[in-house]
Order: sequence, then structure tokens, then C-alpha cells
Amino acid sequence: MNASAPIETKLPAALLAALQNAVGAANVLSGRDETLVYDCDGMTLHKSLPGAVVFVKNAAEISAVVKACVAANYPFIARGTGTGLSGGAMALNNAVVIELARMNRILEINAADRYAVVEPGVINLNLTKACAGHALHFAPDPSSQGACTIGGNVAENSGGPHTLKYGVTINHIIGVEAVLPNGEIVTFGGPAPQTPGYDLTGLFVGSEGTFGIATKIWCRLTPNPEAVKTLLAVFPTVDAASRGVTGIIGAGIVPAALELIDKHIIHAVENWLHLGFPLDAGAVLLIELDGLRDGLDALAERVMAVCTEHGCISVRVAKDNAERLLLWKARKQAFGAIGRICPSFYIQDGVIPRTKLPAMLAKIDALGQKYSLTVCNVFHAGDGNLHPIILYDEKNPKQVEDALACNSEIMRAVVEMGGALSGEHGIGLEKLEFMPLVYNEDDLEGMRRVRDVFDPKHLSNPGKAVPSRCCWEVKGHEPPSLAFGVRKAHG
Amino acid sequence: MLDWVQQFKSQFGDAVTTDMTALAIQGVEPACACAPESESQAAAMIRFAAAHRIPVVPYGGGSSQGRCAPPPRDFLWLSTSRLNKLVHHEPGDMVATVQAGAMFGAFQGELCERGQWLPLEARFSTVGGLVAANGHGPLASGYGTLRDMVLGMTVINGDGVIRKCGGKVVKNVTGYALDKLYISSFGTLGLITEVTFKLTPLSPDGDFLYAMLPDILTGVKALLKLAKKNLPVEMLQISIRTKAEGPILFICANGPMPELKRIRQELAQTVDLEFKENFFELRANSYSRELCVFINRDWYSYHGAGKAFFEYREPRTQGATLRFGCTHSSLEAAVRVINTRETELLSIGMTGGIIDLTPLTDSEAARIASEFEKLGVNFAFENIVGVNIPNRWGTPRPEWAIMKQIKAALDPQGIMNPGRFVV
Repeated sequence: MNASAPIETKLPAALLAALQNAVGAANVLSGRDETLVYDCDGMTLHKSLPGAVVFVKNAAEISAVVKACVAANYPFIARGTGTGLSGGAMALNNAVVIELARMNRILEINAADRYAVVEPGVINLNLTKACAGHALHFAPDPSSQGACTIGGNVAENSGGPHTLKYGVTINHIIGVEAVLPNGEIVTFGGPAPQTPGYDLTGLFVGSEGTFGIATKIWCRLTPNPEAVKTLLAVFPTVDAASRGVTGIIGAGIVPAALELIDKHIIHAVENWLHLGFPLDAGAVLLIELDGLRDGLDALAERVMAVCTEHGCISVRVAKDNAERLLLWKARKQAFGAIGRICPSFYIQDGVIPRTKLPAMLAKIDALGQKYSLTVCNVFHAGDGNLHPIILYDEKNPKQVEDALACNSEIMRAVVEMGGALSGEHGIGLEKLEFMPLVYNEDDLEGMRRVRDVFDPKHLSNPGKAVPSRCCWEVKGHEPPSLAFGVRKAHG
Repeated sequence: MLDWVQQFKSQFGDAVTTDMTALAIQGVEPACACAPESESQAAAMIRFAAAHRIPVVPYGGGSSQGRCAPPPRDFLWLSTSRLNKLVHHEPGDMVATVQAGAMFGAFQGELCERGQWLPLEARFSTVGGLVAANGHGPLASGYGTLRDMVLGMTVINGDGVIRKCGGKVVKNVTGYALDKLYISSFGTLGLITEVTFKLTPLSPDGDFLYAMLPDILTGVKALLKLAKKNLPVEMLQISIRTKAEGPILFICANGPMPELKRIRQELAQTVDLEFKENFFELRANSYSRELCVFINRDWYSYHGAGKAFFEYREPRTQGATLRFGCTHSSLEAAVRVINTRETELLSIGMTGGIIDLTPLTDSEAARIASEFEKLGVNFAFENIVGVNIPNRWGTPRPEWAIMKQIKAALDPQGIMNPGRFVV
């Protein structure tokens, strides 16, 4: 049935010519030298050289490119700025990369109806900046929001610190225009709610480019809170801090953000940026409350009481916006700080029930010791969305092997605790082999059937998001893509 | 008796109901009715139906059956009434998993006992029916809809295979979001058997205010003014409970007392309406709980003829219910389209509403549909009795072809609620 014919993995000359014809020769890169920088996304463990990189400027061009690829039975993949952390934008099997960064116009800001219409290449933060005059913002705020695109956010269903209160990308997308994997241009949803029929917008978000390529996105805009209060609660240990998290949530308080930063990150950030974080802390909680200014003091008192109850040593309250931004800088620059102290790191994205945080963090610590690897933690604690960062040297094969083994054990522990493989980075290529831990073959087959509706030839970002019907995924073996078409970064 | 009915009875024995009295849906009686005792038995029944190409109508509380077209003849009435257990509730995680046949009110009651709730209105619905029909209610402006609350579910698709999607944690991008697909699918893709929800904590303090309105448009203008203030309210809704009483604007909010005081000040400064309290007895320190009771017990029962919203068994002689969704800026125009007539039942929020149109002529329905489409307003005519409305969900759209393909993929024999929804 579907996807039965083996796809091409070497770009045919005729296809290259067709691509050049569709968008102009000046907008097509090909050959190793020109395409090398597109061989991976933010997940650098696995790389694959694209067959070509095509810069497009509108839906019609994307449609023409897709139709050319389909005619040649050649895979294609959409890419924004390549900040993804799961290999979702990696051109497996030398796919044609459809580069969307030039489709970066904000087409409409409708303040009265609280939505914006954007092209997929718009940088996340730029939309919020453009809405500032209307006291509105786009709520999903990944740490990479200064670089990642909204098209990428839609593909991966991205999150961020403030999704604890405001929800992830899917909760803020009300419509999508997309080029389907057959080149057809369709629209799902739109500004008015209650579109008749199935929620295809909700289905499309998080499909990792396997259902098609978003070309126009209707984003819900959220009113800016009148007031914000940011607290830094200092704890002696990670365990105490994680109990503080469960205490806050258990008390029925839903902060705007609730982040945990452990001592490794504190030291890395402090040595780089000198923000005045306590070096003797085992962990800190960055807690943000927002709403009407009239109620915030009372809410902050409740939060501080819960923290004290769980062993908090001290609480620093940002006295103004400048100090607030300083505290957030530590959180947002954490990955950059890690990059300064270790050549390579591997970021996890599992989610666990929040009551399991203390047990899970103890498990992560034990696994770090087992493999003699440093594992740092800076994550969305309020959601239970872990981001353990495994430090390793990619030039050291043993460390790479250990990092992967440690990662695998963490994944399995997440699933055993009733969690999910990914909270906001997506499955991509990286977590594909773990999908059978969460879903059985029947569950996966249901997902494949829906994929077949959109992409019967499996040419749109093949080998991502959901394991295909080959036996290797079912048995949990290494994907064949790792044996051919992809080289490991260290290999 | 049909051949398959005899075979079905012998295969599933006690799970089959022989008394068909009062089981008709929109006047169509089932050929057979059953209430499986387990998920696996339900799956076996659906496999049986698929093998024999028998149309299956999933049935929960029945409150949304009138929202769909009538069922086909000789259908299998499949009730979830015995799949009604609370599977898991961990207050510390603010997550609960419940079987689809649980009555929403009972489920809500258990959550409230442990300090949490789902800000939804569903007096007569089962959990599964609520999700399948994407019910929400007057708190949607504050809390969103089911798309924002459902974390995962288990569904028996039309091929009789049990499939999970989503999960039991509050953030999850593991695999495709098929759970979003099943919300508002009206049972056309499968039978929902279990749902996991993200919960909301009960608040001890809050305000429930209301103002009597001279007319609906005055209320709509007040809504639009208040929406611009971005106040953290959880309900901002106009309702007509009885024709004699006229429209009322309801506003409620929870939070610390200083915040509530500020909201009252803003209301007084923004709109020229007299807000009152004590619409119902609000005991100290139990605000959300009282609101929950009001929303789920009395929101519609205050309406003189409230049953018309969901009671298909006692239909009007002629009329329909109109549900619509619109942007803030098209709300007033949308209301003007339907406000040319008197109504006894209405509930309108910032992004749409629901109104009883009794009586309703074919030409009036066509006029409303045409004007709504010009305004970009989404709509559905429901609980239709004695009116010919060819496109009850509006003019067919190109994306409906994709929906049909999805149905074919998950319900290959086309047995689940066939012909009753968009697909």
C-alpha cells in the first residue's frame, strides 16, 4: 500500500532543474559545500547532507517544489532556523530542504480580535515585539524564542517557561494554511472558533512536518498581564526544591512560570554572566506570578510560605523589571553557559507527573554517577517537563556511548513513572526508537493511518515523529537511517 | 428480528438490552441496544458491527444526540453506561483519568471533594459524550475549551481496535495529537472509552455578579467594552433564562479579595449597568464549588424551557437550536442577524453562543446561514424539528474531503455514526 516504493536518496539532475525552475536558480543550493550548514538542527548527534536547499517566498513556490519532489519520488523537509532539539529538521536520506526563513512577514495584527496572521519564518519573539503597542503577546516562549520560527513552533508544538499558565503552542494556534504533501494548498480553522468538523488545526500542530508545510498561521494573542512578580527561591538541595514545586502545585497555585535550576547551571551561568546567583545553593526555583497588581502580593505570600515549608533558605523578589530580566537571563542563557564548560551536551525533554519529581531527580543523579557523566538540570518544573543535560565530549567515543546509554535509561524511567517522551521538543529522529515504550503497535498504526491520509508516499519529512511500518521500530532496533543516509556527528 | 441481532444477542448475552422502549433517537429506533461491561467487550462488539457493516451509535447521556443528524435505520445503540469508573486522580498532579461512561456531574463531584474541578458545563452528559461533542459552556472565555483540558484518551476505532493517544501528563508532544481529532468528532471515528484531563484548582474566594439588561444588544456592547479591559474574569456571558425576565449579563471571577475589589471598580467604571450579587447563595470559602454546582445544575434549569437545548426526546413541533462561533468584532453583527426575532433561550459570550429558534421557517434558516457565512461566522443548526436546512453546518468546505479520508482510515467500514456529522 502506501509508501511501498523505495524513495530516492540521491538528488536526480532532473529534479534539481525542476527546483531551479520553480524558484529560480539563485534560490537553490546544492552540493556539499553549499549545503553543509544544513546537515543538522540543534540536535547535533545525527547529521545528513540535504540533496538541495531551496529558498521559497510563498505558498505557490512551496507547492511547486513539493510537486516536483513528489514527481521524482524524492523526500523533502521544511526548515525554519534549525533550532529544534530532536532532529526534526534534519534532512534524513538527503531530502530536499525547503527553507522558510525568508517567509518572515507578519501579515496582520488584529488587536480587536486578538490574533495575528504570520508567515512560518517569523521569529517567535518578533511577533511579541510587534504586538507590544497593543499590550498583547504570543504566549509560547521557548528558550530559543529569539531565534526559532513560529512555523517551527507549530511543527513541534513548542512550549516554554510560561506554558505552565498559558499553554503550549497548540493552545495558541487557531488556523493554518498549509501545502499538503501532494502540493495542494488548504486552510484549516481561522479567526472564528467552532469551525465545523474535525479539529484539523489541532491535529496539524505538532505533526513535525509530516502532514505538510504551514505557509500561513493564525496565532492567538494574549493580553499582557498588568503586573508581574518574579521570585528566586533558594534551596539547599535539588530534592528540597523539587518538593517545593510539588508543594506549590499541590496548594492549587498555578504560577505563570515555575522553573528549577540546579547548582551545575547556577555555577556555569554565574561564572559567565555574574548575575549574583547564590553559589552555595543546591538549586533555585524561579517563580513568576502575574495578573492584576492588586492580588499579587497576597499570592506571593502564599508561594513563599509553601517554599519555606519545604526548606527554602531565602527568597529574592525582583524589585523592578531590570532585575526580573536579569533573573530570566540566567534561565534563558543556561544552555549557552553549558556550552562554555563542555564541548557537547545532550538535552532531554521527558515529562513526568509532578508528584514524581523528587524521585525522578534522584534517579537522574544516580544515572549520572553510574556513567560518570555530569547531568545538569534546568527545566520547567511546574509542568514536570524535565530537561536533564548530559555533558559529554563528542570526540570521545566512550563518552558518546555512555551519554546515549544514560539518555536511554532516563527515557525508560520517565515512561515507567507514567510520563511522556517529550513535552515540547518533539519526537523527531532522536526519540523515535522509544515510541514503542509509550504506544503499542495498534496505537502507532492508528497514527500511521492518519499520516497516510496526508502523505501516502511518506515523502514529507520521512522517518520522523512516528515510527513507520518497518520491523525495526517495533522491535526497538536502531533505525536504518542511522546505518545509511545519516552519519553520526562523532563518526 | 434481523439475523445479525440474533447472532449479536447470542454472542454478547447479558450486555444486550431487549427493551427498546424510549431508546429511539430523533424518532429512529435501534435494531439492538447494548451496554458493554468492559473495554474489550466494547471492542468485540464494534468488530462484530464492522464485520456485518452495522451502523453503530455511541450513546452516553444522550444530551448531544440532537446535535447530529438522525441515525440510520437498524442501528446498534451502544451505551457506555457500564464503563463509568474513576480510573485515577492524583490531586498533586492536577490530573484525572475517568472512563467515558461516567456521568460528568458525578465525576465533577468527586473532583470537587478533593479540591479540584473541570470548568465545564455538562449536567446531563457523560464524560465521553461531552468530549465527543466538544461541550464547554459559559466558562469557556475564562478557561478555554476541551482542547485545552484533554491530555489523552483511549478510543475504540471503527475497526474495533483499542488505541491510546496523548498521555497522562500536562505537557506532551509524543506522537500525533489524535486526541484533538476525537474532540468534536461526534463518535464518527470511534467510541471514546477513557479520557485524561488537566484539572483546575477550586478557589475559595470569588465574585458572582449579574446585571439585568434592557435588551441583548446592550449586553453585547457591554461585553465588548469589558473584553477590552482584559480583566481576569472566568465568565462573561449574556443569558436569557425566561422571556419575561429578559437578558442578564453574568460576570464571575475568582482570586484574592483585593483583586475582586479591583474588578468591581473596573466594572463600575466601564459599563453603565447595575451589578448585583447573591444570584444564588454563595457560602464563605467555597466560591468555585458553588459556581460549579450552579453551572452544572442550574445554568440551564433556570431557563423556563431549558430542555429545548438538549432534550431531543421531547422535540418542539418546529424549530432548531443555533450554535455559532465568531470573532469579537463580528459578535454584534452576528447578534443582529438573529436578534430580529424574539427568543426565550439564549446564551452568548465573546466568541459566539447558542440560541433557540422556535419557530423557524426554511427561509429564515437559509437567511441566517447566508448572512453568517458572509460575516465569516461558523455555525451549526441543531435539534432540528420540522425545518428543512440542507447544510446544517454551512456550505461544504474543501477540507471536509480530508476529514472524510481520516474517517475512512480510522473507521474503514464507515459504521460509526454514519451520515450524522460533517463526514
